[in-house]
Amino acid sequence: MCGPNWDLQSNDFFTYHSIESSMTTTLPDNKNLWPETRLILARWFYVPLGFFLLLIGRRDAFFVGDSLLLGVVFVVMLLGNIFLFWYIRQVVTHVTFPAKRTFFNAGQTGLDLVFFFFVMFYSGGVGGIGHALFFIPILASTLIFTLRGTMMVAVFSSVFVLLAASLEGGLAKLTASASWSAVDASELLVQFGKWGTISALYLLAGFFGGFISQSIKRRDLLLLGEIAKGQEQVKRLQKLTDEFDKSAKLLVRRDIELVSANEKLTQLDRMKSEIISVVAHQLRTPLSAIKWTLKMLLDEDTGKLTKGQQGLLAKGFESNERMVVLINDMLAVDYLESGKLKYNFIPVQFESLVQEMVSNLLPIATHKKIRVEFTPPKELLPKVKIDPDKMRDVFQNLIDNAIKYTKEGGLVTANVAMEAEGLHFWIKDNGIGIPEDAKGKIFSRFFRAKNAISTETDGSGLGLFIAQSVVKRHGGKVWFESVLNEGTTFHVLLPLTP
Amino acid sequence: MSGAGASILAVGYVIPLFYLLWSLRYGGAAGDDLLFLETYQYFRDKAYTGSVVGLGICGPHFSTGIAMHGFLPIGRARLVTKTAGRRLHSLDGKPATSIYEEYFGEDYLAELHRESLPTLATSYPLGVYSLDRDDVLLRNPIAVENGGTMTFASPIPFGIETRLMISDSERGLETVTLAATEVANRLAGRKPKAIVVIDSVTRKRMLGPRADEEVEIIQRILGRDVPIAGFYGYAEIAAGKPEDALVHNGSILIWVLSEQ
Repeated sequence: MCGPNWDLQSNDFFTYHSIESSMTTTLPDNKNLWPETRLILARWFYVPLGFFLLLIGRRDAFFVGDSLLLGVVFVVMLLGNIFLFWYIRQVVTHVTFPAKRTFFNAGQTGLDLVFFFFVMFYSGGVGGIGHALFFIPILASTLIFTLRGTMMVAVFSSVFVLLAASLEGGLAKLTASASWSAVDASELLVQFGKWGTISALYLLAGFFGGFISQSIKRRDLLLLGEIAKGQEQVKRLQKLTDEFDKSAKLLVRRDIELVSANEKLTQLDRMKSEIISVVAHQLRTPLSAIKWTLKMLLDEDTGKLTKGQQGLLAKGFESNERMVVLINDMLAVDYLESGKLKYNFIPVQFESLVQEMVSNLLPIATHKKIRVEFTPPKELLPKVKIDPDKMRDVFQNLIDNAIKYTKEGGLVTANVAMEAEGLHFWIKDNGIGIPEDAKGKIFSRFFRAKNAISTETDGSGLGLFIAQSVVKRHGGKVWFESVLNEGTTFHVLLPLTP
Repeated sequence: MSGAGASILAVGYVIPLFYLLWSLRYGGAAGDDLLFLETYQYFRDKAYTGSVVGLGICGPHFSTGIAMHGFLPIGRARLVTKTAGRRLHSLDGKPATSIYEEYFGEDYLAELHRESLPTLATSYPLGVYSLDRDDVLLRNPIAVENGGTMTFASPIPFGIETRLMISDSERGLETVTLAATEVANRLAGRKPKAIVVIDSVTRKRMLGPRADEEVEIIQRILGRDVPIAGFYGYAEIAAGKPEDALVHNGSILIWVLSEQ
């Protein structure tokens, strides 16, 4: 399994540059979106328009030869546009076109300029309205050229108008007679004046049109850049999703393996629990028999005992008792885990239960010269719904541990308080504490910390496990704070349930 | 029910079926503990099969409920490309089983194609993405055919996105807490009078020995002295309004009745 292997920074860098460099040459796949195509389509309309304008506004001195010439120009324009249309549709692709693009556009603009020159010249010249048609190629060039190209088209338009103005102003006569006297200077000046005004308008239109077009193109460039970046991101996300899918497959397989392994372990654990259960049950009867036998012997029901015999029998009796406690704990755990244990939740005065357990365990504490303090809250706490029998086990284990692992002369304090999250019980001792390495395992079955074993050899390591299971089934939690050789505080928090 | 005079009326055969379905707000499909042989419905000390048992409630009362599953999607989404009711033929143009084959890998393929129920697949239901809702509905597979068609416990519509779903017992129990808390919030201080729990049989399987904890959590949050009843089934139906009724799989439905 290999993870995604990209250098994001260099990838970003590459993306940015590829967009910048490709923007001037890249055209959309759809040819209908090319400005050239749109211009060719527009020409189907403005060429006939120009031709009809010519027919309407033609000069008085209009000869048959002129008519023929204009007809030829019109047909040439139409044929030229058909060629351009076919060329752009069939011949060029967006790969081959960019190199020829400027040449192609210069060609079609030049064709337009020549056509409009004829239209203007034969439809009233500089004095007519034909010169307005030059705005068409000037504005069209804003689509296909840069600002500079547009300005050049404006200048060329101006040159054509100058040519018309010169011809109209009488320069044609100069060529015919080769004498300046034939030229009417005032007429020429009037024509040049008109030319100047029109040219200024062309240049202004070219400049502003080119400028606006340039701004739009820059914005388009940015937008296209953003789109390209977005597409790149989408690709990257797709790749990431695929990688995640692979990871998901890996996780599911591992999950299946773990689940099946866990099922096997659970089965083994169940078998182990069953064995423990059977053994414990089987041991309980002979242990009871031993207990009562020893008891009878100790009570001297069977005859007088010497001091030595009594001492030995008492030790045997105590060991037997410890064994009984251990067996009972093991059976309790088995019962807890098997789910056979049914809880009986009833409203209980919590602090009374704690008081009862403290009183029960007081003799052991007194025996060890340990002071146990419990001050019930001044006001009665609200009754809480718990299973009192199971909860007694919890307090028994916690208080018993506190006493067991506190040295002679120590102090154990129990407290109960009502808090926002529920009823809080905590028991604090100044005993041996829990070593750091044992803190994570303290609630595990059969676990006892090393210092606990050396302090008190007795103990099954089941008490805290039982306490935690019971508290959890009550929807509460149990936790502790401990410093080695300074003491431990165990907390129990029980939620107030309806 | 007492107090406000609300009464519960069993209507199994009194009211026509269409009215029952029209007014259905919460319900579930019977189950047979993943055997998929035959299910039974119990009504007045008799067991029926292929029938509907309903519970009509009249009089002033308040009822609310919620169905939740707590599963999370895993892996890429796949589009339903051919389906017919509960039989899902293809996803992304590939046989429906392909999603399980890809995730389970070769080692566990045999498990999927066993003649009986694909037990492994029930631990990983399909999540169905609704077009107009944010929540994801679960669909539990119940049978696999040789051609790669899978039958689910409830229908899967054409053209929607599906993903494999995953969860564990810890999250499963957290979901119960969430659902019960949400129901308690919706009760807005009203004292619940009865709780009906319709739980997916696959949740029971997922939770294993901890399955009982679901009821304990519900009781802890909604009240230990409130009568509670329910069953494990193959589908859970829940709706705020009857027309919004959604068929869930793999979910726990908690429905609570209280006085108004």
